Amino acid sequence: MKRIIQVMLINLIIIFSAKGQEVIKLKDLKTPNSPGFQILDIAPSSIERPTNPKAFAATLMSLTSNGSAIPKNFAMEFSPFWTFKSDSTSSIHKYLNIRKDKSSKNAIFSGILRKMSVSLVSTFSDSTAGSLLKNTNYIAFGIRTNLITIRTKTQSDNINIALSKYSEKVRMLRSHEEELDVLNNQLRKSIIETERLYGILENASSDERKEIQQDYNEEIANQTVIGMEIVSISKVQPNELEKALDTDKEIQNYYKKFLELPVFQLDGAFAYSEALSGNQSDNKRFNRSGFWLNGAYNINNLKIDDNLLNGNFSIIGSIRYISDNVLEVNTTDVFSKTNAFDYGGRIQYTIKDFSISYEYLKREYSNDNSNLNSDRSVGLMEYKINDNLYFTGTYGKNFGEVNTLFTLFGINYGFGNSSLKTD
Amino acid sequence: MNVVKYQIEDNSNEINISVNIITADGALVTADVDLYINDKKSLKGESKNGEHYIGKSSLGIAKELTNGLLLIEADIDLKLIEESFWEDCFKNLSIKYFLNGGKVDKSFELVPEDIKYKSDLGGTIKTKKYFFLKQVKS
Repeated sequence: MKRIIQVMLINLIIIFSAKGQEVIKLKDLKTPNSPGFQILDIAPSSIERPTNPKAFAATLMSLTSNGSAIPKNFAMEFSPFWTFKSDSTSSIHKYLNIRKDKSSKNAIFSGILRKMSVSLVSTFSDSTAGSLLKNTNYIAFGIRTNLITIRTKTQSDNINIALSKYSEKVRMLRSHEEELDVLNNQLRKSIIETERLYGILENASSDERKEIQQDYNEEIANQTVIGMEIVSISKVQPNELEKALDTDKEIQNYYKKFLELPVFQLDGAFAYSEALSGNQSDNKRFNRSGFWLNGAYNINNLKIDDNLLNGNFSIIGSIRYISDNVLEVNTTDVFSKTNAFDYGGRIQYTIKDFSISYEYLKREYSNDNSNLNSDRSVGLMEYKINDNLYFTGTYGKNFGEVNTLFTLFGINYGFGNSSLKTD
Repeated sequence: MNVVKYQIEDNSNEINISVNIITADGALVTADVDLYINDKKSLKGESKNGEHYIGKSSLGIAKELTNGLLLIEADIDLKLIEESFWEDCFKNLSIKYFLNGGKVDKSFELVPEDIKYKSDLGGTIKTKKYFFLKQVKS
């Protein structure tokens, strides 16, 4: 198992280092809360509210490898099911975890593979802080997925009504309908004519052939012109529909309805990490692995009144089993394996583009190492100013005994498609 | 522009179509089957509630469908999905069409010669597939 994970780690680094060096849009960059970071205790949040997966969430910190074969400080997360082509039947009802009709049940188990994301992380620590040791490169691999999502019957029915109205509205917003109807009728007539002429041509004598061939060629040319007109209109239709969808108030209200949080979500995650002292592969050792569950209870539209503090509130509980490799007391390079158990929770309030939360996790080691017990207590905030500008901040106390003050503030900003360093 | 000829016979067979749009789960799909015949357009099938398929829909009796033009149009809205998905959604979009009741029952796919365009931002995709219902001898 360990060997398989090591091979996967190396292969993923090679494959996705290339992918990661592509130009990343700034709006795709967000704070690195992937399991790979969470197992190392350096994610802004150790308890993330379950979400639908991202395709290639380019949580890219920095790809500088300083000439070594093992990159330092980079991270990426992607969804294998949707990044690679799949022939499986897709379904909006599964995505939204709602029932198809009144006689069916809500889609509670919406597919572990469909919502799985894989993350790969490398971070170099130049000082001893929290769970990280000085002058060590940490590489981690993580997966997470949604296990259960539950919506209420009312929520499910309301979303189905909104979906039905959405479809009607999209049909109304389609552009060039009458123009295309005329062209499609012309196209049909032209095809009938070419079929007729082709039939005559096949049975024609050589004398008749020349004249019919000319008529046939002219009809084919006419058909090509009609086809080009249809193509020309079809090319602009996606932009026109997108603009209409973006400006239509009814459609915007339907989107809000679709994005309402489910009443309960349960996510599962696994992560495995190794440490390379001095970033030398000869000094490689197992660092930590863990499995955890995050369960969120969400309340939509929690408000004081319609105009004040109308946002979403979540209570998230977390339990985590960890297999750790800790530095023995009074040594610098002797490690011993031990187990630990994390438990705690997070409360989060999100209003429009602003989110504020607090999380607390208690870590308890097995009896022999109870002196290592510690906790993590941090406050987090994120504000999306626009698609290209995020402000994020985390402040509090991290796990461990040394340098446990945990601060992570950053502004992700930029214009166009420039690459960005967020560390 | 690509128009596929589907062979039907001069008989009373019912001609049916079903369509399956394979894309990311979070895509909102609005798809229709329209039949153009005798200068008229009639809606023969549609996707409901944003779903990714058009269930088995009857086009009519074979002998009454001769020289009909069938258009299957789909609008795919990716607004519920992370933007980083959009390019893969366009690239990996697959649409399967199944026609039965004609000379042979047959599956077709959206191919590069068909109409498939996206908006500049990539959040909306439009596809069109044409079939001409050609009568052949039994």
